[in-house]
Amino acid sequence: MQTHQYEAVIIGAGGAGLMAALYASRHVKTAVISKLYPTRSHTGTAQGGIGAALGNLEEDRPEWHAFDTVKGGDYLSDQDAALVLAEEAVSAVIELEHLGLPFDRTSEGRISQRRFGGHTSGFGGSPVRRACHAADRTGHMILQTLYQQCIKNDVMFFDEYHVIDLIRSGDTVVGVVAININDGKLHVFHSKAVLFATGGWGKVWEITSNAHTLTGDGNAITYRRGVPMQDMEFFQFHPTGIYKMGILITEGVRGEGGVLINDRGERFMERYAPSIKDLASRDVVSRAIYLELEAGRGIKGRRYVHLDVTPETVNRYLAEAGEDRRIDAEYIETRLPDILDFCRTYLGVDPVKEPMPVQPTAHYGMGGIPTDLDGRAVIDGSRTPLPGLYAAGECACVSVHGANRLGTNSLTDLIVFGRRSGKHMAEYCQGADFVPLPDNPAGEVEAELQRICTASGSRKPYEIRAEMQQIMMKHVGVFRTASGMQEALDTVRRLQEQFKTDLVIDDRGQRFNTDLLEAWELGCLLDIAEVTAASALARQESRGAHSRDDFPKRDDEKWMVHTLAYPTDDGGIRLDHNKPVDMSLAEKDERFKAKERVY
Amino acid sequence: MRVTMRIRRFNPEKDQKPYWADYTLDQVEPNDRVLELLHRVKWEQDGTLSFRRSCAHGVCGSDGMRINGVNRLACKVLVNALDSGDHVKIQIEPMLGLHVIKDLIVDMEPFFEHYRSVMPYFVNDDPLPEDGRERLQSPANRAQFDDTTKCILCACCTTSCPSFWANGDYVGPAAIVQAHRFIYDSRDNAAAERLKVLREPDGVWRCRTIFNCTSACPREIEVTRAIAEVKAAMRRGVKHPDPE
Amino acid sequence: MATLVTTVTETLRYRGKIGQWSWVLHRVTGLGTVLFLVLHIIDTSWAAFYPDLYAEAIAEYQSPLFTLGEFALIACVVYHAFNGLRVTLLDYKPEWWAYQQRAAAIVFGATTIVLIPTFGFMLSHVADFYGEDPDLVSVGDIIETQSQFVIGFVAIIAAALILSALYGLVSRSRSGFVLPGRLEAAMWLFMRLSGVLILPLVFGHLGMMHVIQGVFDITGGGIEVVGTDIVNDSGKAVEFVGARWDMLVAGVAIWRVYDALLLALVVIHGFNGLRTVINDYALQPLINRALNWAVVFGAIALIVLGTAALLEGVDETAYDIAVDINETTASAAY
Repeated sequence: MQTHQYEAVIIGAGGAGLMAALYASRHVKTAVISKLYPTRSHTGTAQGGIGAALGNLEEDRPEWHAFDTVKGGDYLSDQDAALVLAEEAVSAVIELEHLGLPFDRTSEGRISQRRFGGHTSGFGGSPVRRACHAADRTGHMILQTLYQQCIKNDVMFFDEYHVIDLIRSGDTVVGVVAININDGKLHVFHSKAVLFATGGWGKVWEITSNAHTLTGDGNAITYRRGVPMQDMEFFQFHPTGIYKMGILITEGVRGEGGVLINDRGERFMERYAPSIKDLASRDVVSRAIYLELEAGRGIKGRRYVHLDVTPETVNRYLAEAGEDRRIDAEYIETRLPDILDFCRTYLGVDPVKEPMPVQPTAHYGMGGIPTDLDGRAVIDGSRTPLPGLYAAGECACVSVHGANRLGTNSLTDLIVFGRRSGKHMAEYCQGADFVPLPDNPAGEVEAELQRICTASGSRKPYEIRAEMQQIMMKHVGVFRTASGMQEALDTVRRLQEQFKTDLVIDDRGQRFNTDLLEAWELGCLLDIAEVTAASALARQESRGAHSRDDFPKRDDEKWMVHTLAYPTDDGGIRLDHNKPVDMSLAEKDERFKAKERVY
Repeated sequence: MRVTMRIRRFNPEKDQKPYWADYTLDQVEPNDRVLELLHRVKWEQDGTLSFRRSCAHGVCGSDGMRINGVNRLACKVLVNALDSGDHVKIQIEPMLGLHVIKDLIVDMEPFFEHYRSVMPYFVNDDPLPEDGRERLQSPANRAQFDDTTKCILCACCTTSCPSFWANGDYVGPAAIVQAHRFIYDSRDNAAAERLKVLREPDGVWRCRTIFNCTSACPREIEVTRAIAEVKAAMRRGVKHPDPE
Repeated sequence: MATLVTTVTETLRYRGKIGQWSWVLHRVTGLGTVLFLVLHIIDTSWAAFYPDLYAEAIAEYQSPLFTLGEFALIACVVYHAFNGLRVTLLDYKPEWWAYQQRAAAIVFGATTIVLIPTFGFMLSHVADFYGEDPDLVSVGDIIETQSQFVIGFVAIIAAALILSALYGLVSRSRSGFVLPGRLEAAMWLFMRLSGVLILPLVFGHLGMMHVIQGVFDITGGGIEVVGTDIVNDSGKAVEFVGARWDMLVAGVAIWRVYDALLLALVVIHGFNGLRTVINDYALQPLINRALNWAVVFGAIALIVLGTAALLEGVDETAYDIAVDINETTASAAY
C-alpha cells in the first residue's frame, strides 16, 4: 500500500474544493483527490447564476442579500454565516472575474445580473437583479475557471481516486484512505488537515437533478467516524425539473419572466405568493406545484405543470405588471441556450414556442457536516472543532441555507466558504505537526471492500438503491407525515440489513471496478437516507423544505435549533437538538427576527 | 421496443483482445437515453460492463463514446435519434486514439496533457482596477469567444479527428478550442505564448479541415471554425470588435 | 495510439460526414496527381536531352493503359483543385463553416459538371486515334519501362533509409524530420497561395494538352501546335515540344515561362502535400526522416531537371535524332 504525505488534502474537485485548493496550495503542500476528473464535478451543471449584491443594474446591498438568505432559510440559517456569505460574495465574484471567468456583460462592460427566486431589494421588497451570470452555464464557467487556475498554479491532483475512509488518531484527523479506481489499489494520504468538498446526495431520491456520482460519500465517511450530520431533514426539491427525468430547468427561466401554468391555464403562483409570484423561494414554489398536482390541476391530469417562457406569454404578463421590458425569441436563445438545448434534446420541446413540462426534483442538501465560518468541522452544540477536519460546499452545513436555500446561493457558498476554508487550512497546517498514522489505517475499509467484492447474496445494488429511492421520494419528499417517514425509515433499515447480509455484485476484478464502487456508494446513500428520515421524523414542525401534514406550522418556540445526528455504537442514531440557531443579526436589527414568511 | 446493444468489451485483466458482446433489452422507450440502456445492461445483466458517467444530461463530459460509428455523449443521444422500429440495434465502442483501460473507458491522461500544454488559463498580470471592481469588457468582446467557453473536455472532438488517430502527439481540436477561448478573450495577455505552442509541428497545422470535430461536439461548438480562427490569429494577430 | 492500419481502417469505419470523405478524396487525388507529375517531368525533360526516349514515352502514353490513367488524372486534378479552393476559402473565412457541407457537395457537383464535357472531348480524341487502328506499345513493354521508375523510387527510398539510419547512429537523434514552426506556417500559407495560382495554370495546361489537343495530337504531322502558330511538320513528339518552347511573343518564350512557373509551383505544392501525408502516417523517426529526405531530394531533383530542360530547349538536331514514333512501335512489336 502506498502512503502519500501532504499537509492539506482536499477531497472533491468542484467549486468549493478547487477554491480551497487555490488558497491552501499557495502556502502548504496540497493534494486534491477526486473520484472524477475535476471538470466532471457537479458544480458544472449549475445554471442560473451566483448571487452577489454588486448592484450593477440597480441598487443592491449585502444586508438585503443576508436578509433574503435568512428569510429564504425560514430562519434556520445561522445569521452570522448569512452575513459573511452576503458580504464576501461581492469580493468573491469580483475575484472570479479577475481569475478570468467570462461573465455576461452589461452595456457598460460590467458583470451582468438577473433576477432569481427570493432575492429582493429593501428587506423583502421587489425582486432584485443579483444573480451574476454567464448565460445559463454559470456553474460550468466557475468550475472551468477554477480548474484552469489550479493548473496554472500546479496544484497536485489525484484524479479518479475514490476516497473511502477518514483516518482519525484519537481526537485528530490524520488523513484519508482512497482507492485508485484505475487499478483498484488502496492509497493512504497522511495529512495535517483534510477538507471534504464532496457535494450532495441527491441520489437518495428517485427524481433528482443530481449526477449519478452524488452519493454523499464525504458525509457518510465522516459520519461513520463519529462526525455528526446536521439538519439532514432539510433537502431542497427544486420546483422545475424536467418531467420524469429530473434534469434541472434553472430558476433563471422565471427570472427572465417565465411563469408556471396549470392545466386550467392559470398562473397559479399568483395565489401562493401574491407579491413576487413565480419568484418565491423554492420550497414555496415546489409545495405550490405539489398542491396543484394533488388538486388534479396537473397538465392533462398528469404529475406535471407547465413552465412557459414563450415570448408571447412572458410579454403578456410583463405588460400586465406594467413593465416596459419585452423579450423575443432571440433574447431567450442568448440568455438560456442550454435550457433550450436540454428541452429540444430530451423532450423534443422547443421552449421558444411551447411550454416545458416540469415537476419538483430532488436538488440540494441544506444539511451536512456542521462547520464554523472557517470551514472547520464542529462536532457538538457548542461548536467544538475537530482538529484537522474541514468541510465546504454542499456537503458542509455552515449553516447559511437554513431550512431552504435560495437560488444562486449555492455557488456563492462554494466560493465564499471554499476560500475561507482554504485560507484557514493553510494557516492551521503551518502551525501543526503531522500526527502519526495509526497501525493499518486502511484495514477496516479494505475488509469492507473485500466483503462486497466476494459477497454471494441475492440482491443486486441497483435493486436496493431503486427501492430506497422510491420510498424516500414517496415519504421523505416535498410533503411528509409521521407514518410515511416511519415507513421510509423502516424500509431503509431493512435495506441496510440486506446490504450487509444479502448483497451480490458481478465484477470481482481490480481494474476500474465500478460495480464495486457503486455498491460502496449505495452504502453511503443508505446511511444518509436513514439519518435524513430519522432527523425528519423527529422534527415536529414545518419549516422550509421540511413540510409536514401533521405539523403544518413552524414552531419557533421549540425548533429554532439545528439537528445533529450521531452514529451510536450499536449501529443506531442519536439525535441532538441542543444547537441553537445563531441570531446575531436579529439582536441588532428587528427585521432579522423570525416572523411569518410571505412572498 | 426491443434494443440490441452491441458493445465492444475489453478487460485487460482477463481478455487477450477486445471482442463484441450483444445484450438485448426489452421495454425500451424511444426517448430513453443510450446511457440509461448502458445502465440497464450493467445493472440488470452484467455488472462488469464499465463506462464513465456522471451528470447524465450532457454537461459533465464523462460519457463520450462511439455510438453507431460516431462520437457522442451516451447521455445526450436518445434511442429515437438513432433508429426507430420494433427492434433497434445500437453499436457502442470506446473513443479511438486513446488507450482503452477497460470496456468503454479510455485513458484520458494524454488528452489532458494536450489540454494543459496550451496554457488553458487566464493570464493577466496588469494591476487590478483601482476601484476594486471587475475588469470591464464590452458585450461584443465577450461574445467573441463565447462559443469556445462551452467546452466540457469530453474528448469527442479530438477522438473523432483522423489527424489525431494518426498521430497522438497532435494537440487536437479540444486543446485548440481551449486556446481559442483565451486567445480571443480581450482581457487575456498570453495569446502570443499560446500561439507559439500551437505553431509547433504538433499544433494547429495538423488540422486538415475535415470537420469531424464540429459534427462530434455535443455542445455544438463550431470547433473547426475556432481552429481556423486560431490559424488566422497566427497570420494577422488578434483583433477585437471593440477597442478597450 | 492507433497504428497506421487501424488509422486507415477506422477512417473508413468512422461515420464522419461529407467533410471526412472530401478529405479522404483530397488525399487520394493529390497523391495520384503527384505520381503522374514525377513521371511527366522526367519524360518531358527527355525531349531536351534524350529525344528518342521521349518518343518512346509518348508512344506509351498513347497506349490504352495510359489512356485510362489520363482520364483518372484529369478527374484527380479537377476534384483536388475545387476541393482545395473550398478548404482555402474556409481557412480564410472561418465564419462560413456552416456552409462547408454544402460546399463539399458543390465540389462534387462541379467536378462532375466539368468532367462530363472534358471527358467527351477526350473521348473524341481517343475515338479518332483508335479508329485508325494504330500500332500500340505492348503491356509487357510498358511494365518493363515503367518498372525502371519503380526501381528508381525504391532505390532512392532505400538510399534515404540507409542515410537516415547512419544519421541516427551518428547524431543519436530520436526525432523525425521537423520543420521549424515558422516554416511550417509558411508552407501552410504556400499551399493555399500556390493552390490558387496553380488553378488557372493547370487548367490551361490540361485544356491545351489533354482536351483541345490530346496526347495523340503530339505525333500528328502537319497539325498546328496548340498555343502556337507553328506547324509540326515532322509529326514527331519532340518537334511538338520544341514548337511550343520556341514560340515567341514580344520576344518572350511564353510557354517556357508558363511551364517554368507551373513546374515550380506544382512540384513544391505536390511534394509538400506528400510530406504532409508522410508526417501524418510515418511516425517512426528513422523512416520519417528518410521519407522526408527523399521528398526534399525528389522535389529539388525534379525542379532542377525540369528547369534544365526548359533552358536547353529542343533544337533541330533533336528532330533528327528522335525516332519516328511509328518506327518505334514497329520495332517494339518485334
